[in-house]
Amino acid sequence: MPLDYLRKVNQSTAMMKLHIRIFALILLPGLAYSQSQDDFQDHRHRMVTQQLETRDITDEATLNAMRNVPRHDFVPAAHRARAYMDQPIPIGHGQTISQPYIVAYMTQLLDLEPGQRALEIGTGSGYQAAILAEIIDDVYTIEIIEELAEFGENNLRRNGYDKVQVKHADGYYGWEEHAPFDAIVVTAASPDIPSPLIDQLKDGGIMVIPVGHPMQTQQLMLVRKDGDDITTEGLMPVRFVPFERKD
Amino acid sequence: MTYRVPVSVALVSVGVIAFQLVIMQILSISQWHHFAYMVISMAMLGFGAAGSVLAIFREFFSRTYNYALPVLYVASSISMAATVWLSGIFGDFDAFLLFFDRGQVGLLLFTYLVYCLPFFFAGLAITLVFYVEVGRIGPLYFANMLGSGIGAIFIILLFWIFEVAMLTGLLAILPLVSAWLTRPPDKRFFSLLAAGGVVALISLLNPAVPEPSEYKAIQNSLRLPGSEVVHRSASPHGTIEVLRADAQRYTPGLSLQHRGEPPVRKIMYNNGEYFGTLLGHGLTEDGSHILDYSTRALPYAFNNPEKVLVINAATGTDVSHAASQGSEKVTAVEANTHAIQLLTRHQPEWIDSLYHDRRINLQNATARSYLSGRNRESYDLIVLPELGAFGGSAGVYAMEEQFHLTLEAFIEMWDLLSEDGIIVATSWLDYPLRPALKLPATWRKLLDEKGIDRPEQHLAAVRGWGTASFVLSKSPITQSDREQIREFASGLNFDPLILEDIQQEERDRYNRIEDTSIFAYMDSLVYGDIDRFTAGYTFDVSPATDNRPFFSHFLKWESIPELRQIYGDGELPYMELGLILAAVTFIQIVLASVILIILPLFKVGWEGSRRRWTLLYFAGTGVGFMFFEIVLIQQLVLYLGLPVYATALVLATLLIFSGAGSYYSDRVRLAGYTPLHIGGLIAGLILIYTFLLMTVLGQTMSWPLILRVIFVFLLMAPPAFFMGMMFPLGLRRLSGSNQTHIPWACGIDSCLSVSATALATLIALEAGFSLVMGLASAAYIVSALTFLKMGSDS
Repeated sequence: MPLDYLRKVNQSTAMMKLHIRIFALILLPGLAYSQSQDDFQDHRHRMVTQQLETRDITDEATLNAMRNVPRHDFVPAAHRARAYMDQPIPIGHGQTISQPYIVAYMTQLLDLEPGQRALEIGTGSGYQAAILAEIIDDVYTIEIIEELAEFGENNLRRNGYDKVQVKHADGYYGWEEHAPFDAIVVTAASPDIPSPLIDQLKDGGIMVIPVGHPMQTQQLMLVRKDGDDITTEGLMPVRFVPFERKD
Repeated sequence: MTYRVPVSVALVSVGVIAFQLVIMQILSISQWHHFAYMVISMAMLGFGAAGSVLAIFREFFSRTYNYALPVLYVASSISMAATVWLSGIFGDFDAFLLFFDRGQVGLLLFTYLVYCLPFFFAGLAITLVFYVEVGRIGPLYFANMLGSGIGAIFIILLFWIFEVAMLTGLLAILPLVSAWLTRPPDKRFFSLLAAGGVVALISLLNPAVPEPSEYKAIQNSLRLPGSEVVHRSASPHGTIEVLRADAQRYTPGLSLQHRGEPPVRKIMYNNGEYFGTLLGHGLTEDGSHILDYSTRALPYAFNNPEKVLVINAATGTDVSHAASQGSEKVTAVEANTHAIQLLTRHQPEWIDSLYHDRRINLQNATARSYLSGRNRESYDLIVLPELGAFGGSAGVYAMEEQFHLTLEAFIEMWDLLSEDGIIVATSWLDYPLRPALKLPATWRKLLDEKGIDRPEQHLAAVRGWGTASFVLSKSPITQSDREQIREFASGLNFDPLILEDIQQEERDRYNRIEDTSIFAYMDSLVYGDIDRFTAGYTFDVSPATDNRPFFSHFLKWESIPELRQIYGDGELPYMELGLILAAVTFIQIVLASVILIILPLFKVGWEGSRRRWTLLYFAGTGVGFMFFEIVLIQQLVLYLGLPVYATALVLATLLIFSGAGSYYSDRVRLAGYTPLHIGGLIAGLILIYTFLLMTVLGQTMSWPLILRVIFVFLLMAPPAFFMGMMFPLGLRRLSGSNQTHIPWACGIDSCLSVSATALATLIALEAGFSLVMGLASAAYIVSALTFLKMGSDS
């Protein structure tokens, strides 16, 4: 069957579904969840004290950033109520906003200082870029999915993170005009550590890659560049050593 | 009406079985196989619900039989044609979000309801026929079974001809024909028939498939800018789609020493799952193969294999790798006929005509049927497909039988190795470690079984940042080999993981890990007590066997409290989504079955007619038949190869012989002990098959296909024939008793059949297929013993 025909068929079905959904929304008013900014601020502080400080997040700059960035403004409206829970949240397109602990853990690993420059591959909701922007001024972020690039940029601008530069492009090639970077964060959707990114990393710089299924606690891959010597380090946000214990 | 009613039953049975396989395919495309199985199991309860409804409203339906029957056929047709469209009206369900978003629970329940309707209406029609015309139950049940058997074969043909989305509309015509055959002499009925025709026609002209889950592998390609589906075609193997995108690169855990851009290639998906990258010759700018920069190149670092066997070759990435290494003959085994046809006949340019290379011998077979086939030869290297996936798969494949990764499969491979031959397998390293431990555990077991005293001399592995490749060598790996392995690893920033003389400090020179327990695990697997290790590890990493061929199943029930503590409730289901959904399915089915079986008793009464014997008898026949069928399909698919055709053949044969048995059952006297003897005979046959089937199949595995098919017919005929007699004999026994018993019994049989399907998989997962067979035998003994007690006092 010609692909064009199938596409038309899908489009007409999609339109029909859209009409029905709109109708259902009209019939079911008041579904939107509203919560005051004060409530969110309380949740945010609880998130820091209960999920981060009790684990191994000790870097003050990271903790302050996590206290300041309104995470609920970076998740889809339907999931806003659970923005500060200890879990990843889907943002569409098969992507998630990582659980707060992983975001904090990654940020702490980068050990950023004012004046340094960071690149993020995979803007997503823009939350990680906002956290980085709380610590340093030069934050660059690239997103390959156009809708997400738009979503992330809107979230950043709405919350006043105007200095963060967002680009809709293929992250494989990095952002050469602004290289080299002290730190690079890669949200990896494919089994790849792109060589252009290693080239754009400063000598002594580090790259962090969360690895694992988006709905689970991810492990972190740290890539260090020391001259021509490139090493990786697998870090375990959740320790799992059952055999040693039982043996 | 003499012939019309049985023909109508047969036609609607063809339609229902075929429809079941179509929605299985549709849901496998949009979600995963296990979700398809979950929905279908619940939908099949529509049959059980039909029995319950008839038990409650039997007087109304039997009074209006001549009208009710064709109307039910039309209702089944309309609901069949409209199923996919209806299921999406409130949004598409996504199995992955079931444990995250509560709104998905509502969508799931609605999905169940919609998919249930065609089975409910068809089931009600068939049960009504059995109830009203119980005097000729034998021929009617025969028509039901024959139709079902034909449906299983018929749909295979349709899958080759039509897009899967069109088939619901097409199949909806069959119940309409049944309605036409049984039409009442009333002109108003023609309007209803016409309405059914219109819905089927709309469905044909406007075919719909649900949106694929955003977590399906194909979505990774579809999301890339400028991605394009360049090919889509369907077959019984599934729907193959080929996608291209400028940012779609082939980078299977490449070494950090690799420079230059990885190749941009198209990817082939089957039912939305990754099937293979269309890599072709795979040569890079410097003339090397792209996989030379991955841990998968390990065997070529110390071995120059002349004859290579690639298991589950798919699009040939490992085949071209072997060819690039100068191997003289590369045998590629792949079971997906559709993919092979595309890559060899229709679009060979997709892979640079790789499969036309004179050095490459492509075999359309499953790994196991090839390994034990007649044309076996020895190999210097056997390459297995990669295990796991980058970032893990959240356990969606836990319920999949992987007969190419069982201990028995590796023993067959070992026996085919040349004197210095090796087996290689690569696993993605996802934490907590699972496949990367189960593989060496299986190989160690193999070495123990082969009586090899020093397993460390036969095993080696290297680890990159994302993958580890393991080799199993038939002869001891020499000092010179080990030096070459070290040189290979160091050149590409990989670290040795297993080597006879490994030093701790060389294990994480390039790829450090915070949690170094993997090294202790490997040492335990190579040097330690393997059973003690697997018993003590939180996940099930004991070797998969032909009796429990679930290589990707790792979750131990007893570890759940510990895992909850580590990961929390929200994350736990994603440890092994396949198993969790199977367990949820079973619980749902049992709850629904209990309701459906008990519900009619409120209306028709609880006492006075020996209901417990009816319940036991039909529970026994339902459970016994399905337990036996499921195990038989597993074993015979392994025997015949090519799962799609083998399943259809086995299912059809089983149903047709059962139908013949039910036809013959009319001649069996109900008085005396004959039915008891038949039940005992079935139980005995199942027990014999439990102990001897695998041995007999193993002995005849090398026979030509046609002889194996004939052998399967002969093997299945006796138990299927006798099993087919039990259900109609039971109904005949009830015909003289309380009138409510027959539809109630049909409901019990349906509910328990569906419950048994879900339960059999869970039992097999934990205890193996042999126990399932044993329980099937026990179920028939229960039925046989309760026969004489059933229905005699009313």
